[in-house]
Amino acid sequence: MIWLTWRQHRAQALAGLALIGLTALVFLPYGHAIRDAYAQHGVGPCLVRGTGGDGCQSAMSTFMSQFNGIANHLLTWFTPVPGLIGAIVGASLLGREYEHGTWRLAWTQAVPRTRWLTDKILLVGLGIVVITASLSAVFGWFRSPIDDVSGRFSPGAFDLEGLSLTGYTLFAFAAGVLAGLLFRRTVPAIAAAFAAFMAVRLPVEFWLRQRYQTPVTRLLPPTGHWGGIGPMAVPTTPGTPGWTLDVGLADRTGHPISSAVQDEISRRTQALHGPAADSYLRGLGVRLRVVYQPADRFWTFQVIEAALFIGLAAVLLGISIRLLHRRSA
Amino acid sequence: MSPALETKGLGMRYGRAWALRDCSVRLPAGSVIALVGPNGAGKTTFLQLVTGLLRPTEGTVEVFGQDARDGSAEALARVGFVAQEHPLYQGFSVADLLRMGRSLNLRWDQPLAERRLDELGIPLAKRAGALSGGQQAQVTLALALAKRPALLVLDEPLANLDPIARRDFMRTVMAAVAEDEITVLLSSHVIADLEAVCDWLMLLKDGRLQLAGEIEDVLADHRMLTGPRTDDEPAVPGLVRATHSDRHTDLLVRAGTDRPELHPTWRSHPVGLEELILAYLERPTEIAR
Repeated sequence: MIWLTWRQHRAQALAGLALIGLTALVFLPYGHAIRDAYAQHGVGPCLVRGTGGDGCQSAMSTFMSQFNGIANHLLTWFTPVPGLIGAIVGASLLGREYEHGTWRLAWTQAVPRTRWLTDKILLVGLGIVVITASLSAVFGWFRSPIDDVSGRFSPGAFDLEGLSLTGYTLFAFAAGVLAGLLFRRTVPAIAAAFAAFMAVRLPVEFWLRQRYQTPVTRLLPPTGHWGGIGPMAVPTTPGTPGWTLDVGLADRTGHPISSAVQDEISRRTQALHGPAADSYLRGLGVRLRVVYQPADRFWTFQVIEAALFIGLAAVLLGISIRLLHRRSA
Repeated sequence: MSPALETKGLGMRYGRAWALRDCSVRLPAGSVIALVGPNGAGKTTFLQLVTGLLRPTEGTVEVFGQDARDGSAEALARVGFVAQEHPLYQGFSVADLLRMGRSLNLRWDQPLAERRLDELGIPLAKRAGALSGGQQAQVTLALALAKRPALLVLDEPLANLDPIARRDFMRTVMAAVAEDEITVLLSSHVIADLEAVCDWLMLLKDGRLQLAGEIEDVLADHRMLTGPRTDDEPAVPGLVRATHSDRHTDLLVRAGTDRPELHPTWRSHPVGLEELILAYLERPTEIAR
């Protein structure tokens, strides 16, 4: 089975290696450029020393505006890729056999078809793990200076680094295998698997992920330049930034203030400047309320996300093997 | 003789339509069995049930005493199958296909396969997709025979082949029968291809078994009775089909009744295989069995 699987999937394996090579070719030089700028702007010392000073704020802002946009563009563009790769590889596994009638050749040799499918899934799955883990390594290295500033929870980082990319691809692969079995044609199976992939992937990113663990709420002394969440945000406290879910003003007891009142306060502070704004806010007795997932939860979240997708993949593959075993046509 | 294949009440349903129903047959080992029927009669379904590619909706199939649903490596190893249109991985070279066979089978006779292909002038380095239809059929057959199967199943092996490729293909099959005494089950809707090589006949129509038996016996069992035209359907025991021309009526009857009680002017002839098969295929299905 090893030789046969390699013979049937070697074009895909080589395409995967080519993708790794191409990615490395593009991102390694670019990663060096980022590292040069990182050193030149003194971003590293700023992050270590504390980030409050105006010099550091502008250095980091310059650095981020130079690279973050491009990095996020490239990596956002990459978001559907694991779904496509997984769907194509998975759908062709059975879809192609049915389309060309070769299932009748494959399953009349002396390998029972459930073992045939199990072996193929394991071998192709292993190939997917190797290829996606390599891609994640390239992306992780490339992004690490940016991640130092903005954290690893931004979508461009979290979705491509660590284990998540592998989990996504395996899930799309499993959906492709099942769709190939149900549709018996490759192209409709790819479309169905990709649609299923996006239908799970997007709600997880925008709704479910932030709920993996209860976020931490912190009350800080108010400051005039609050606001600003998202990948462009520059940290105002030392340490690797986490994933800020919500920033707003709160009263003394920590209850959020209504948005109408917040707008009113924010109009006033804009008229004032720096220290005057801060003391005005202190005078009101309000606090800055930050709701966030701390940076050190990155790996916990990665494991949860990967377990979710790999678990779904295992369920779909289990269904495929059972269906093939019982299949009457 | 112990059966190579035995089915009991075998049935296969796709959705609501039965492709095969109530099929019970015992096919003896060592014979060459022709499975005949029009398109859509259930021939492919029957063969795929035998090879374990399909699981029956009802009934059982046993190949050399083992349930075909079993699908174990040992059961699969005993059956060589050449599917309709002889599917091959088009991108594989012939050598790749042999290597696939070697790696997926318990028994594998590589020298046999290489010798057969060499005799036919099929180069091992050539891509399957670049071979002619006849050559692809031969490669598929070589793959099936290299398994050293006890039962060789061929689904419409001669369709889409030119006369020379047909002859060569059947020569290879018959050589294997002579050398290894394997049992062969082949389907076709072209009767002329089968008469010379088969000793058993199995006739399917509309998913129902019409007739099964050794060809000699089947022919000896049937008589054609010719007499003056009678318009009302004669109540002859064992009547298979009646045809009427201007002056005559021909009745194909299944014997036991070697002298039906008819007017003495009726004459009785033996029937040919083709005539017999056509008579069974043309009669309305309601009368079946």
